[in-house]
Amino acid sequence: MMETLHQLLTSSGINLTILWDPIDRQRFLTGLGLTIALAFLSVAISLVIGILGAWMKGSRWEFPRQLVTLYVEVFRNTPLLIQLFFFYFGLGALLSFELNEGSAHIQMLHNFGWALLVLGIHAGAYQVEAIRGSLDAVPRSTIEAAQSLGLSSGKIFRKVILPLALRNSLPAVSNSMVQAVKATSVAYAIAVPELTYAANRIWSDNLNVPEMMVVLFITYFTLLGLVSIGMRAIERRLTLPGYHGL
Amino acid sequence: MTSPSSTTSHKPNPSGKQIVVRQLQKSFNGNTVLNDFSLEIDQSEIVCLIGPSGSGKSTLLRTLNGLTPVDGGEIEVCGIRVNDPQVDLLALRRRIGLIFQSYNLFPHLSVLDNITLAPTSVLNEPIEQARDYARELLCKVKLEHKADAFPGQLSGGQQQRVAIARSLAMRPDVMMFDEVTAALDPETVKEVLNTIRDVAASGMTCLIVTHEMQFARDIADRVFFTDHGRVVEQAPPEQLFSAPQDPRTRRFLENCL
Amino acid sequence: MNTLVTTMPLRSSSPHLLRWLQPTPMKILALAVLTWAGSWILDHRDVIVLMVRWLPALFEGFLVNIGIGVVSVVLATLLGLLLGAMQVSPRPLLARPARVFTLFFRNAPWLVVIFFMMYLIPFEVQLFGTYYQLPDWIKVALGLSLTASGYAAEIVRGGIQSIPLAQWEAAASLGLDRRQILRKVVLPQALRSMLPAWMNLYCTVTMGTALASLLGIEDLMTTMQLRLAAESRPELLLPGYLFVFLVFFFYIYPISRLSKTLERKWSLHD
Repeated sequence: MMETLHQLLTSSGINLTILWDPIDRQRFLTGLGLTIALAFLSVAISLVIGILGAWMKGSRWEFPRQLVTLYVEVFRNTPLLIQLFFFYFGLGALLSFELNEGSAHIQMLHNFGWALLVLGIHAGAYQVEAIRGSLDAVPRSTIEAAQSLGLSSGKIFRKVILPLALRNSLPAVSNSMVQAVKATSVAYAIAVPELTYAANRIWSDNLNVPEMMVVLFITYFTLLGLVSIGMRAIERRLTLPGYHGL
Repeated sequence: MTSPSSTTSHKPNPSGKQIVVRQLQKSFNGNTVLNDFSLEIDQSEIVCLIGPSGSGKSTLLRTLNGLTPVDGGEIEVCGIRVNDPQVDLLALRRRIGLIFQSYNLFPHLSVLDNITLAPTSVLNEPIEQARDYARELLCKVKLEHKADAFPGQLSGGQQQRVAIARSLAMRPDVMMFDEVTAALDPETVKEVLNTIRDVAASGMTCLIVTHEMQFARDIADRVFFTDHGRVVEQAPPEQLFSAPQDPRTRRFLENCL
Repeated sequence: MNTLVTTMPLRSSSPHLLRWLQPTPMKILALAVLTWAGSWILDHRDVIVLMVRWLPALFEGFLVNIGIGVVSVVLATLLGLLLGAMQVSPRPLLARPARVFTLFFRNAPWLVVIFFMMYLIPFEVQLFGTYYQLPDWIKVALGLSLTASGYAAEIVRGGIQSIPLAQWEAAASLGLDRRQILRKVVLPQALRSMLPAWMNLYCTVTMGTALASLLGIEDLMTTMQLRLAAESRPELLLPGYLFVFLVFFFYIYPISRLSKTLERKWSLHD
């Protein structure tokens, strides 16, 4: 069946080596897998950072608040690529060391690890704002009502603020997932064999740029479409009837 | 068509009346807001419209200056047939001033510029003349010291008075007030009502939609009570307020006073 | 809207300078970092001298970034105006392609779009008989502007829609015609609300220009990398990349702050 497809495509001039060449196919699938892994894991990291940062931003003391602001402003106002290079080449140089004299440098963190770390930290800067915003969007009056009923602040946070804030944050979290999938292409710069890097290698070897471009666009759009559908399903499950947000 | 400076021109109208509304019909999304609404107003008459919310009073004002088209009926203002599909809306709106509940001043212009914008753009008045008249009007509404302030720096009552001056700068034949004090605190309501009093006293035809019953009693030549999109009863205020004929009018007045 | 009553900030009794000198954890941290940086600079004076010699080339490289950024933003704005107008058009022949275009370019990763441009656009173009070479940076600028145009279209649309209907009605009631209303009442207010968002777009696009270094264009990052590779001294790596990092930060951050301040100052309808 593959043979007939191969015949059909090559006769019409379309060179889709990922379908019949095992090496290229492997490159592409690895790229897909790495892109998905980078996207999901970096969002997870960014959520952790975001929650931590939002918590620190609500602190009574100035220092944690200013620290978080510094982090957010620095990572939101510099390009992702520059951040990646700074961490991988700049800090990475510090963290590599020689086992013995003359042997190769061993890196503390593989390039996938660095990409994941930087993508997570970069996305985290946006998450802090999003999560802080969703916490603040819970109306003061709702909290005061809970206080007037005699609930402790721990209970209020768990039973009143958190569920409402969670629903407030869904648009921002879904947006950050979309941004995360797009951002993974930057890992190309440090030779992480994700989708863009794989496609680049394939079209360099086979000179089938137009075909691979189409494949690349379709793949990214499919991924993003799936993410959107997934997030909308989650939003629908969590919707409160009659509650139109704040 | 545009006259550089016209003093108030009360042009003779075919029917002799300033505002004539006959059997007006208007629905929004299946809700009938105006249902066979009819009234007539003479020149220099002060008319107050009272009635429950949703009885179509605001919608009526908007149909008179063409902001809202009507489904049926006839409207004639200052001799211009408003429901005519060929009506020159711009000419109509030069003759009518409409003051909104939310003042709607232009926030990017100073008070003086707010007032001179329309006379200079529409009537092609020279800017100096427009500014002089604007200052005169600001004196009349007792805000001459706020000429260079911006709307954001003024209180609600002050903004409403500027809005009145802004409409007066176009030298209209008719002034319409759409619940202009509803959004103000009680202290500032008085200063705006006094301004309306002055406008009415100058001989301007005024159509005032209001909830301020005492004010309507004091100022109006005639009061119209509206309910469910039509005029239920109309009479001079002494008569309407003390001896309402229709039971609906009685019920409304009992609930308000 | 009522700004008659403003709250006065609480002020402590000590004079301004004395308050400035009081230690807070943040100031202590900043002082520690500066001290460490200072001592490092003193130890590595030769490195600093070397890097200072690179400054003219680095500056030229950054000019490339700024140049691409400006060209992209201008193109994006023009394209965005066209797209925005097409999107609200009642004719589906105009509206639908515009919407598809915007959807496509807002969901494509920036790097992929730039690659797309690099391969799509020929390296030279024939206009009126003479051949013009298309340098690589134009392709990057085009790629960035296509992605940014979707955002620009939204900024324009949002700006005009944010003017409340009441403003249109008040102006119409005064007798102004549609063109006068647009020119004197709606657009002046709309432009004011669009400017902060537009400045934000400029920041985003300028940050995107960093991707040009991956295509071999001699921007700030590439210049630094070339110099570092020529020296091949590992202790230069961190300061080198830190320098590029800081250059971008100190260019973008003030613009971003300014846009936020303008947004707050000019919020006319709240």
